[in-house]
Amino acid sequence: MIVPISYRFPALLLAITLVHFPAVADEEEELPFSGEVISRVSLDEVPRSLAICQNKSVWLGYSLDDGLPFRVWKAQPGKLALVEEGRATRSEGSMVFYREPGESWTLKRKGNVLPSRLRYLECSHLEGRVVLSWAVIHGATSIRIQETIPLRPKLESPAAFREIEISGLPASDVLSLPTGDLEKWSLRDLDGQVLTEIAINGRYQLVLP
Amino acid sequence: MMTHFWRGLVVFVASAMMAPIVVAEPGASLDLPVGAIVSPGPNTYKGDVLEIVKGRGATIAWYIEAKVEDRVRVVAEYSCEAPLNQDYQLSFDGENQFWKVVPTALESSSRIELGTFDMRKGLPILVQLVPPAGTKYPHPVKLKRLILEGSVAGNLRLIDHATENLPPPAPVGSPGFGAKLTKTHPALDFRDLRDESLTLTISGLALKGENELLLTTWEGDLFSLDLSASVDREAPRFQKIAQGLSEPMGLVIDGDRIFVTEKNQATELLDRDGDGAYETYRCLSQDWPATMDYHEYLFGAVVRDGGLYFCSSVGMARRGIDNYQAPLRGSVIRVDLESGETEILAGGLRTPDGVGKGPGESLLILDNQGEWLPANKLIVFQKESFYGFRSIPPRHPMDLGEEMPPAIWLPQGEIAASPTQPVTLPASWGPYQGHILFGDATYGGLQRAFVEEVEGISQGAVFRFSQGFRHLFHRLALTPEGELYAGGIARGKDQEFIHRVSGLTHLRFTGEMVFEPLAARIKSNGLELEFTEPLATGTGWSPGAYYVTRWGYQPTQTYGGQKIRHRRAEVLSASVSPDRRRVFLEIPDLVENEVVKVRLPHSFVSEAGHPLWSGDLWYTINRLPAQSEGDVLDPPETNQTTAIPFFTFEKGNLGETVYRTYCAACHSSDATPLAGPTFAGIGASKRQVRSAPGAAPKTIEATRDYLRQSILDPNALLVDGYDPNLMPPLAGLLSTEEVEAVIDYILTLKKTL
Repeated sequence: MIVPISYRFPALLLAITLVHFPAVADEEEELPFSGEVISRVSLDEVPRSLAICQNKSVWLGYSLDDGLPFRVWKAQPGKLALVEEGRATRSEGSMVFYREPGESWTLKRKGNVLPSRLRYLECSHLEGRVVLSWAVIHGATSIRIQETIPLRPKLESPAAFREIEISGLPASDVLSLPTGDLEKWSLRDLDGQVLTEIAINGRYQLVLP
Repeated sequence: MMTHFWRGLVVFVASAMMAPIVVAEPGASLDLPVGAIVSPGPNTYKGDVLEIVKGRGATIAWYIEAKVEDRVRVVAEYSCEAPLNQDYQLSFDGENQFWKVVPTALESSSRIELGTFDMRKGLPILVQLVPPAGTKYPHPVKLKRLILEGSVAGNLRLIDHATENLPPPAPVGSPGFGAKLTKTHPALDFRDLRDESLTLTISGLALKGENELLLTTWEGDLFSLDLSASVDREAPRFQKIAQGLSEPMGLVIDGDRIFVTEKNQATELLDRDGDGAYETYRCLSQDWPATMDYHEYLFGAVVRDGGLYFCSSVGMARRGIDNYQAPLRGSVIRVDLESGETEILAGGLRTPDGVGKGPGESLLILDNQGEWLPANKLIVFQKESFYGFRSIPPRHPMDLGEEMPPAIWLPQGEIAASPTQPVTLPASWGPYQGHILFGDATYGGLQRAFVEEVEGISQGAVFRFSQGFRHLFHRLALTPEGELYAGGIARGKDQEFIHRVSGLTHLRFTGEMVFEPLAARIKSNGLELEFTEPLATGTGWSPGAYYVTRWGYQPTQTYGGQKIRHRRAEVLSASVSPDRRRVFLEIPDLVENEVVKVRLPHSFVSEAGHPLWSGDLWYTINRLPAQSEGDVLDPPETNQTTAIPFFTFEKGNLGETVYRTYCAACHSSDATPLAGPTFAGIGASKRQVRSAPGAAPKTIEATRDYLRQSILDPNALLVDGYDPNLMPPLAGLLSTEEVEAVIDYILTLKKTL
């Protein structure tokens, strides 16, 4: 077979690469849920949790039972941000945001809290982003919260950045974040309007300065 | 089918029971002094008082008997300076009461009533006081004795366990006959599908379509193996197709759907964009509590009737503190594949590592021995059953007091140690069709079980089947053609050992006829054995050719358990069927809730001249049929007679037999790294040991006393680099004679490498 000269060097490089790196390593880099991006084992003593690396040094730790991040931290220069301890993990670095796990989204109607439960639905690792989904269930009503964590967003100032999309929210109801979260995170609509609660189905942003 | 195990269960609030003791009939009471217990374990005597600080490794038990039935009250004489955070258990012939130990005056013993029990006559009764299993208390419970107060003078008697309650002598053992097999079953052809660059700790195994085998690893990867690529001729090429799973312990494929049971959730892997990568992990359910306990797993994955079935294990991390268990652990769980609706179907499991489909779409569960499980179990699942591992408040909804026995007990060390996933063999496996094959992550090999239904109750026998594999089989998958893929796994810290015994094996049943006991069926007057081939003419008629023993179990809250009422069973007659494939053993006085072990002699040959492959079987009697008598036949004139005894009872190889049975799976005799330290050259060697993880190491000599302590209470001195609780205490399993014999044998093992 005649190989065009312009292809020969890349072909040689590919051949060398294949010799030096087992096939599994190549596959691993291409597969979703790489450990460098997302860890689905328990984080910081929270059994049902996961950690997502948004930037090289910024990690978000989610409590799946809460449907919210319970910590955001930055790695120390040259050090690991996520340390394996047995078959669990521990965050290591400086904490940018923290609260005790256990608080979640609140569904309200006319100022009154409605009894509801949160159900974790799924996690997708897509090109350039991780998407997490939950359902807030109140009786026969199911409100979907889809949270997108962009990977390596080209933003310098915020420490962390999330996008949420709400669907199925009845017009009579609103969704609220825990007070502590609102004090740290800035909840905005796509027009940049700062909000304290979500009353309309649609897309929103949460920015941690 | 329920045992009387939970009858009369009362959580005993001792403070309410410090009532004056009613004086019993003169001569009708019996002292049970602590000096007469089976084994103090890690606890120490001070004069006539046993200072109890820990339960694991101790057998604070007495054997008693009565001439006539009676009702007896049990009183403890003790002192204790501070309360305990867990209850003591008093197990009286299988009935339980729980004792919340109340502090007493320091310098004098107090008496407290622990409960009143029915005392049957006849066979010995085990009375066992069981401290909390894993917790070591800084202040001891100073126990002087138990006092039994009956109503019939001279009725009760304490049996000397060291001289009167000895287990029946075991015939000299050899592989397959009283000892573990060492070779591969002659009808199996197998190949190690190994890629030396990978350590595949296989935690799930399933076929996708006809030609793709998927496997998960403990580390959280999903691999694919193309079975059409001549896996037996070429180096296997495992392709990683997903990663980032959290300790998956079950994998099942239903059509095109892939389900994995991860540590904390049941998950479906999705490739919505069709690019060949599973980019979405859908949470099918996580509707049960979870903690950080390392031992909280979801084991197995079976799809049937639109649901995903799996089991949760109990936690173990806090058994040395307060034995906390998260609610609903130890359950059989069903999750609807569409809605995710979750049902807790049964409870009382401990480490149900083996989950698989049984005959007739039944669900099989294999549970591992430990606290509340005196032996391993093969369970045929029934909804709303309680399988024995007791919950703590808030109680498991199925923990209603009565325990469902397993279909088959798998005695620890003898035929199982960490039993794993079962499969039901298809027609292509010839005589074994419908039988159950399962692996073992410690004992190794493959074991075979036969289950029958007697008056609606599942029970049956387990047989030795095959050893001789490199991998410790954890997960099994059958192709439609009946080819078996078996995945190995290992625990521990020795990476070389883990790499060696983990991985994938491909097995084929060759169809070669192998002479062995095939099945066992209970009759009201004995046990019928079926063989794979007709016996040689004249063989099998001698009752002396069948060495039969039997025993029961008495579950306690401490680890493992000893055989109770362990005794030889008389074989009155042996009747060979006209086709010489079956032998009916006439055994009088069979009782329910016991295991019957049958040992066959080497000398049996088949009509075709084949020797027996294996001669051991264990049958569990849950139900003795009321009307199903075996036929007792007159022996023919051609009855085989021999001057050579069927069994010999020399002590010569007792130590080696015990070693092969209970030790060899984890301790090599030739310096090969296994899960535990090698015994090669151990005699008088220097050992770095710790009294607890994190404690300062010290150097000791491996003396006879050290070895004895390590056998009876393995956690007392941990060899540096090994975690506690890796080894089960053998205090209740081995007799003093067996312990000394195995020490003798271990001390003969020389350093070879």
